[in-house]
Amino acid sequence: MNTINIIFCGLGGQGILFMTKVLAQTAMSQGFTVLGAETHGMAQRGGSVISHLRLGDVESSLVSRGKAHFLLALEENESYRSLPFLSKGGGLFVNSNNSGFPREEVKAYLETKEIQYHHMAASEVAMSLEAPRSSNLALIGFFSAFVEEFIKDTDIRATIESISPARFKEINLKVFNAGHEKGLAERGQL
Amino acid sequence: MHKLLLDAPGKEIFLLGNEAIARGALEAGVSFATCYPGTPSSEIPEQFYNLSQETDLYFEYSTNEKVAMEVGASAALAGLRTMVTMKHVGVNVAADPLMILAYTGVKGGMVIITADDPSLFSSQNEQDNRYYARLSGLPMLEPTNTQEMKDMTALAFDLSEELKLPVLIRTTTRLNHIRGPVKLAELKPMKTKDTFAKDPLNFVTVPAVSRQLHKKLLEKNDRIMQKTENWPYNEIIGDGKWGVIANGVSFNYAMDAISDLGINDQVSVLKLGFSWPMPKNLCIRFLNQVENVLVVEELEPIIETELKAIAQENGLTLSIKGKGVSRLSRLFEYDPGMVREAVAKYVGIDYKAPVVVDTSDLPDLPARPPTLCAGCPHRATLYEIKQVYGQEAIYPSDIGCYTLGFLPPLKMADLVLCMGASVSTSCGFSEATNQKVVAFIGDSTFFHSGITGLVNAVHNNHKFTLVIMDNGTTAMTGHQPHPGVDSKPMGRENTQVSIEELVKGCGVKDVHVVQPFKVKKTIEAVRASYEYDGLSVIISRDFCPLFAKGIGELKRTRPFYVNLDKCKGHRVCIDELACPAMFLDENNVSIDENMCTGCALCAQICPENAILPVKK
Repeated sequence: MNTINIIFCGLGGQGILFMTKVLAQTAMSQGFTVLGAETHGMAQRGGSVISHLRLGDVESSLVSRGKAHFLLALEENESYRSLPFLSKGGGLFVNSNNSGFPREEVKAYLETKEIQYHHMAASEVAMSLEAPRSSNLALIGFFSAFVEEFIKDTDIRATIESISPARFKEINLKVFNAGHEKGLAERGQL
Repeated sequence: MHKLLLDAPGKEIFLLGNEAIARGALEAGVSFATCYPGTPSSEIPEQFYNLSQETDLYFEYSTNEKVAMEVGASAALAGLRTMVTMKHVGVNVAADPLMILAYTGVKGGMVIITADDPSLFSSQNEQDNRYYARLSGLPMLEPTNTQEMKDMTALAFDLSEELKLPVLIRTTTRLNHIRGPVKLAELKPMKTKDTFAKDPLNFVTVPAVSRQLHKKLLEKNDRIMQKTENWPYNEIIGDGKWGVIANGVSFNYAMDAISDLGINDQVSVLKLGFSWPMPKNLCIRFLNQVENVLVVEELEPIIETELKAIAQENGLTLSIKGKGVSRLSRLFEYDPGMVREAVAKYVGIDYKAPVVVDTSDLPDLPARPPTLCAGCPHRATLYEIKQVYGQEAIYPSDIGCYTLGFLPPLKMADLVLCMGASVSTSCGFSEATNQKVVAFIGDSTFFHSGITGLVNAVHNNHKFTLVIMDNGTTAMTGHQPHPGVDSKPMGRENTQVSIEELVKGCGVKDVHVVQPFKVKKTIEAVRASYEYDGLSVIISRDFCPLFAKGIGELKRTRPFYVNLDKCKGHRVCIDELACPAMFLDENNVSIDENMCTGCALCAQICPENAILPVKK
């Protein structure tokens, strides 16, 4: 694919901007032209937050509906809200500990759109490492196990090292690794 | 070292739009910067604040936009390169000096950023500030991406010095908050002091002087026209018969639409990067090379209207369309899909829009508006006022996080106009009705424009209660300081202005200072204000928990839990406070220990005393 479109969504305060930055920086270091669009300000007080990331030769930073290759959601309901962004055959990665994921009502939609969906309990993974606010990194780690052909987990690790504040470096990498392991395991089961 | 000080010409780095603007200013040798923060402009002064710690740059968070404009104006009149930043509605506050600055002009380059907010992500309106260029007579630039945000900012300083006029740069939220690549250029040295040269016949705007200055401003127009005709970012791309004109972020959507539709060879695009005054000759050339025109501009049909006038003056009768084509309207921001549809419809090509996504089988999701954080002192204050004044009182509110208190269950805001208006509208309500009136205003907003309203209330003997919600910071826009903040932690001599002394100095007799998490005591003070026959001020003071955490001031108190043996399920806590740390687990109220800050508000209102600190 010439262009890769990614949507990140969740709630204000969950670390969506940091998550976007990690993937953007990594893609840039790999030679992609990168454009991103973020939500700041009022929306960060717990409201719905969406961040757009486009890798490739494009002018606009916003992803159109039906054009996203990947959707990474830090919260299950927000993943449903942003589903219309996903293209046919797109990949959905959701932070959810709900064994009933995805909800019954959306299954038909996911099927007709041939959406590959995966969920993992990113918040629990982060919590178990005593980093309750780092579910964003667990989800990126998980995601990275599925997209090795265009973005390497080792490169993402390097980005996390370079942009995390010193005191969070170690724990951020730990959470990322734990998420990555989960991703590899899930992938192994496919 | 701050990343914007990277001395590596030619190197490409990844920047937020607002960082690119700050870098552009540095590359032009900016030495003086002022602002009042406001989304989507706030990350520009954030850079300047940090840069001022490491360089000779003078930067200040001014009390409001008018003050920022005037402080900046004098620096530019003295000869320094100066940047002043604000959000779109901030320009309304600063419009008074702005209009006159166009008459006096400047000596050092002065660049003013107006950050507009189509779709109202964080604003009370979506006014189109391109009108301010027309109103003031000042040139306006509109970049389209991160690279241009940097490059045009640097060029704007040269342009300003050459024309001896301030230059306006208009951005929109989607530019301020994009991230993209920026190729760096050289950093220029700063000139941090100059000498003000007296020139009363140009600077003292008594009527006799201003009559001449207005004439001079109009005479400058010829030189501005030359600039806009030759501006590198005003250009015609392609030579097809279908004309498309676009500015700002819409230009990117239009370019992507044209290549997605595969019609590059059929289209000519006129990009307007120097958008006022419009480059007339370039427009005429464009109008002569195309058969019809589609104007793609968010908000008001400004280019569209002015282009039609240019066409008329030149006897050109081709069709010029914009608003009303497909979904292009005066409302809200555009997106790539809308523009693609509009371009396809306009060109009349057989374009199949991607099958409209059928989302009918998606679950109905609750809307998720922003909300007050767990442990927010505003929640406590609003709750306490409500206990005494009830639903009948009128609650004028203001601009800040506490505006979110208008949502259920608190429902504690009846009118929001603009910064400072809660105080002055209370003056009117208290005279025009027999209802009780309680105004809410934040600490930063009080300094911004609440004080004049309060003086008015004292002078005209208006009777109401003003609640100043002092959380120690400008919270909503990202924790900037203000005059009421202790500046010692920032490494400066303490320059704190005391709110209570200020209020008393204004002549208010009934003043209460409360700690909102002490519910009983606060309600007593609120009741005293209720019974007082006159103007009362309640200063409700506790740190914004997000801010306190950032500066290491959040006392790590134990979180609370609901003791289910005691809980009788009244749900007063969750129903009246709606704290995001509370949730229903099965049918029981439960508290998320990771979110709970231990503020104890819910514990104090529980009729069963069932909410207790978690045992260690």
